[in-house]
Amino acid sequence: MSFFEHYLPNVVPIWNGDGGFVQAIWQTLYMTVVTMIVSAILGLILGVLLVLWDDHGLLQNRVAYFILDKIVNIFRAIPFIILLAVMYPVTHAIVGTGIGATAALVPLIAGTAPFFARQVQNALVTVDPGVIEAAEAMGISPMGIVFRVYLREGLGELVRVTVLTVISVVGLTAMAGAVGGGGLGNMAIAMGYQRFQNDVVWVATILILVMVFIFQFVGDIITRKLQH
Amino acid sequence: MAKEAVITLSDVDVQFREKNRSVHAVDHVDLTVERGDIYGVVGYSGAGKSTLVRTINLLQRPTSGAVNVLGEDMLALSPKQLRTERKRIGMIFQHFNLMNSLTIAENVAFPLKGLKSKAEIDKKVTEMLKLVGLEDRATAFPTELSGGQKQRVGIARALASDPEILISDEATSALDPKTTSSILDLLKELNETLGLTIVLITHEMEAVKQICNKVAVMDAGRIIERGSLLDIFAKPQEQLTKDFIDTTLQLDAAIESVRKQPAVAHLKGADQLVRLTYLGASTDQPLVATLYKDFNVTANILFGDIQILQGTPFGNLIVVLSGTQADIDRTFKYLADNDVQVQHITTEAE
Ligand SMILES: Nc1ncnc2c1ncn2[C@@H]1O[C@H](COP(=O)(O)OP(=O)(O)O)[C@@H](O)[C@H]1O
Ligand SMILES: [Mg+2]
Repeated sequence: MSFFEHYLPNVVPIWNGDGGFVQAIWQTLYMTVVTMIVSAILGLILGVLLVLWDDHGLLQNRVAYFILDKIVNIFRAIPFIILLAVMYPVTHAIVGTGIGATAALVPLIAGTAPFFARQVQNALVTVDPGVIEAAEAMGISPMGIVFRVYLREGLGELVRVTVLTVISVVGLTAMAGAVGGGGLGNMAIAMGYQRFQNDVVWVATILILVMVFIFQFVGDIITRKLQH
Repeated sequence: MAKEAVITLSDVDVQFREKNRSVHAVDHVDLTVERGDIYGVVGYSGAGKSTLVRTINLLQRPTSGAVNVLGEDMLALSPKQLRTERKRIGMIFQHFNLMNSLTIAENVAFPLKGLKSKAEIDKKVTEMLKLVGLEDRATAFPTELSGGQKQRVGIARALASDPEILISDEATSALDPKTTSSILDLLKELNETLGLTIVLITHEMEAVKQICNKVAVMDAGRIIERGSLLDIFAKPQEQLTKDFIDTTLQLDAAIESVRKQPAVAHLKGADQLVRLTYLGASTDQPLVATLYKDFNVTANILFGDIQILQGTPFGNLIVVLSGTQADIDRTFKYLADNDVQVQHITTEAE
């Protein structure tokens, strides 16, 4: 124990307990996982709609595409730190408070779902149009083509963009944390940076990196499983 | 005996309008395909062949015109009815369009999923793979197959839902000649054993020659000439049709080398260098012997190509005709009366 106390004097006292590192890890994981699940569902739906409504899509719809495309662009154009402020009233209305990990979910999802929607769109347009055409010629319905062709043939790309998004969400949680969301970002800024406790900053950073590497590693394994 | 028309395109027109240009891809085309036909549609790239046949299953909606397939007015169908109808029209493609994430068996099962029981699907898949000679590759993935094998999978998949019509859009264009020939043989066999009606789009007259009974030549969105394979080969009217027929003979190279021969370089008197083209019955008598015996004209054969079209010989000879002017004139008349086409060839390279 003395080794840790010697080199990480400020980390050890706040490892366990309320507002401690263990709790921060859970908060970061909580924000990342919940944001990812909700954004994945929303982003997948929106991304598929973008593909279907596109000019070359199965359910071509210029007006609907134009509107959705612009909404996605606008949300993606707003820097996340600003989105946090802009979304505050919405967050308050939904969660009842603007502080804490759960409140951070609202801006996190608002920032991530449109990003993921665009990633999904980019992933699905890589599916060979010839295969889509073949499925159409076989009398498969648009829904059938979405689930049996797009999501199936685009699976490898979808896994890739999902990992990319997860990593970006971990980054966003750190920012959300800095403005009261809790988690490792909060730890690094509030307990580390602002109190001149460098060891806290370093440990928080390393923990975030470890998380990113784990997500990346899992993604690589899945990708490899999908290839034959 | 009037055969049943399975596809009738009436005055079908397709225009693509883009911002600053408009393409008239199909220009008021009528086309009737009868049950059991292997109907070739030949034309250069961009002629509108794909667009035309895509109106059959409405992958392309015509700008105007009527599409009747297997007794259904296709343009009057609801989306759901159209999907049901499409299962009666199989389609194969130049780039096979298989799903790389699925095995060969899963690809073939693809159109049947949800429509039949697992046992029925398995049985059908086995049957289809056997039909195309790939029963031992069921668990392989498309990337492990050669082009010819991929197209066989494409055919098995297209036939899994027991269609009555098969549309082949340049299905052999990405394949080498030997593989092309084996795929065409397979199509011919399916036509004969299953009574499958086939619409075969290609830019290769060779493919049409090998298996089609009818052919339409397309240029700039129109069908400029059509008819039975034999009629088209025997009496092509349009220059484009003649050009396409010539692609099946190695005539250009032959004429080049013929021009270099002494017999051609030093033509005497009324001697003429001509190409004679005839189909089957034109020549129930030995042509060359007749010319000499009855007209006193010798025919020196410099190049000959005789192929069999639907069991009928199709001959192309390049000969020097020698004799008196009067005899040669009488010979031309005799040849014309006997449906032998005569085309004069200049002795100098053009
Ligand atoms: N979806 C489309 N949008 C615009 N132009 C098209 C489209 N599809 C085909 N065309 C045009 O229509 C013409 C005929 O094309 P196509 O039917 O593919 O010819 P082919 O199959 O004989 O090569 C070409 O000029 C092509 O560029
Ligand atoms: Mg084409």
